[in-house]
Amino acid sequence: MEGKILGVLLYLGVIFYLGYKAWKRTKESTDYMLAGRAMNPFVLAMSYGATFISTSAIIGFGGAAGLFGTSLLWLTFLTIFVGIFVAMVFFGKRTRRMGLALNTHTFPELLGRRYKSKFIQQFAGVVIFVFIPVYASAVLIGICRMLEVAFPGISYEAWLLIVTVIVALYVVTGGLRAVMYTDAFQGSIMTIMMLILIVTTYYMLGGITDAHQALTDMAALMPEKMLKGGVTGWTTGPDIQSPLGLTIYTTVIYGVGIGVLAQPQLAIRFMTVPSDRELNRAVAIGGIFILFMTGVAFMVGALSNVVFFQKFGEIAISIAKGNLDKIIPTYIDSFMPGWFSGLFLVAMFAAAMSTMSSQYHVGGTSLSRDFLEQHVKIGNSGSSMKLNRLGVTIAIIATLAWAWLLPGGVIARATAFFFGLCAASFLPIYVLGLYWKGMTKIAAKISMVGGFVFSMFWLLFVHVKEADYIGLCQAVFGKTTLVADAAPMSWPWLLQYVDPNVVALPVSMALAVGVSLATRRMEQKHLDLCWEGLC
Amino acid sequence: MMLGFGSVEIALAFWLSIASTILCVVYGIVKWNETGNKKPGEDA
Repeated sequence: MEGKILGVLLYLGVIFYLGYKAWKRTKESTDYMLAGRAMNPFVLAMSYGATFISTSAIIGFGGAAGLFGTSLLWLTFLTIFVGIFVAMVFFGKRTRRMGLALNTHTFPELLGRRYKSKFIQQFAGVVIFVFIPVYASAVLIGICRMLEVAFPGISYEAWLLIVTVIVALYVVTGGLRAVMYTDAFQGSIMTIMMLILIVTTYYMLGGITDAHQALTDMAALMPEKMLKGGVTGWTTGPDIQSPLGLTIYTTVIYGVGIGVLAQPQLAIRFMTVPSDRELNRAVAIGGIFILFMTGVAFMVGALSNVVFFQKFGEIAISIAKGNLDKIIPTYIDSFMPGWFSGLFLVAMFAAAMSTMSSQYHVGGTSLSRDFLEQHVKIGNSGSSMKLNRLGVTIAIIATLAWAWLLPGGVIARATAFFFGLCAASFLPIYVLGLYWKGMTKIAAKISMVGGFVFSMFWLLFVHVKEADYIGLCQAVFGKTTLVADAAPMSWPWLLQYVDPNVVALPVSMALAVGVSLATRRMEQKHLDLCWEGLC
Repeated sequence: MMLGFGSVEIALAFWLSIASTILCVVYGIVKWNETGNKKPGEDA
């Protein structure tokens, strides 16, 4: 216990030092919102990665790999190839240059100025401000549940307050500079711990191939319920035409793997660096970082079955008593040295804080810069910074309120909500805005609103996970989803397990292209300004 | 090549994860000093 307390106190000491350093260098709104556009590649890469990877990505998805197996490695591939390479090379560079040409400070402002539309900026700002606190509360709840177990003397409710105050102190005062400095430190801790975890696990199991082979040989132990759902083994892919196969491929792999491109808290980071050089270097650092996060979490989660079975004669999900989120913590407590579990707790604390701080920041600036500043006259940069601090404070309070009021299950669904809404609403107008001069203002509005509405419709009336929880479809139509009474295992019935993004994203993309082709191009002078500096 | 995995599909995902990391590292090293800023007199 003393080790855990000492570890947490040392960690917090460094966090507050970095927060103080950032606060001293935060003088104006560009510092607060874009870290002065002067970040170095290491801080950019680690901050981007640590924001992307929260505790739930390691504990939750790692636990899911313990149950579903290594098919989640497809998500590892997408998080590296799409989340780092495509995002930084094909989105990052253009976002940075266009952001500079249009003097934008937030993701909604970039979209708004690209299309010369205050409506787009405000709509995007409101969507982000309303939904990101719900997503942030999922992360907050996750880490507070872990801290409650690690330090039983302090209640869960008290942890909610303590963690909120700690993160609020440096985000409100130091803005994005504080967020990114602390992210880089937090990401470094996470990397070291994950490296130790994978090396130890493979070592315990006699090497890479032997470890995988032992897991392959355990296929007969896969629970009956999982086999019926479509999972075929821990090292074989699930049946695509099955509820679990569709959930794994469309929600976990496609939804998260593609959804990452339209996450405002990630896209904003491209505008924090002074040149492409920082982005080029960040590609190398970020690629390694994400491999260590998702790759290690998913492999260790799956391989924990072998270790648990060899030592205790049971598979991971049985040892964790059916709770996915307990697989990784139980594995660490059972097989890793005592000092490691203390430091791993610090690493998970770091993973949660790095994601939450960015969520608070992007939610707050969306409210202040993209909504309030459009209605309130701002005198100078100092007033703008005050308004941003107010916005961030409101986002933090909203997150705490969600975490306090809603049960964990509902909150967890909010993460899927946010990824789905962002991808369907923003991805087509973001990517076409960066690459296609023929994209028009009216098409951008219709695509954004159409993607949002269609995504909401799918979440509320078709996708069973959310529709069943929210209950609107039940209240209106008397059934959990619109296709609930189709023949089981038929394709209409299986639509309940297809992620909203699979349908809503093509719809919003078709709207963007179709309406653009039928409407008048934006004026050449404005396009020239947007394309200034683009290759 | 299969590294003990039970299907080609999973082994492929494993190798693609490693390959995409190598792609990121090689790209970063090759473009380490490219700022992307226009040289004087160069058109956009």
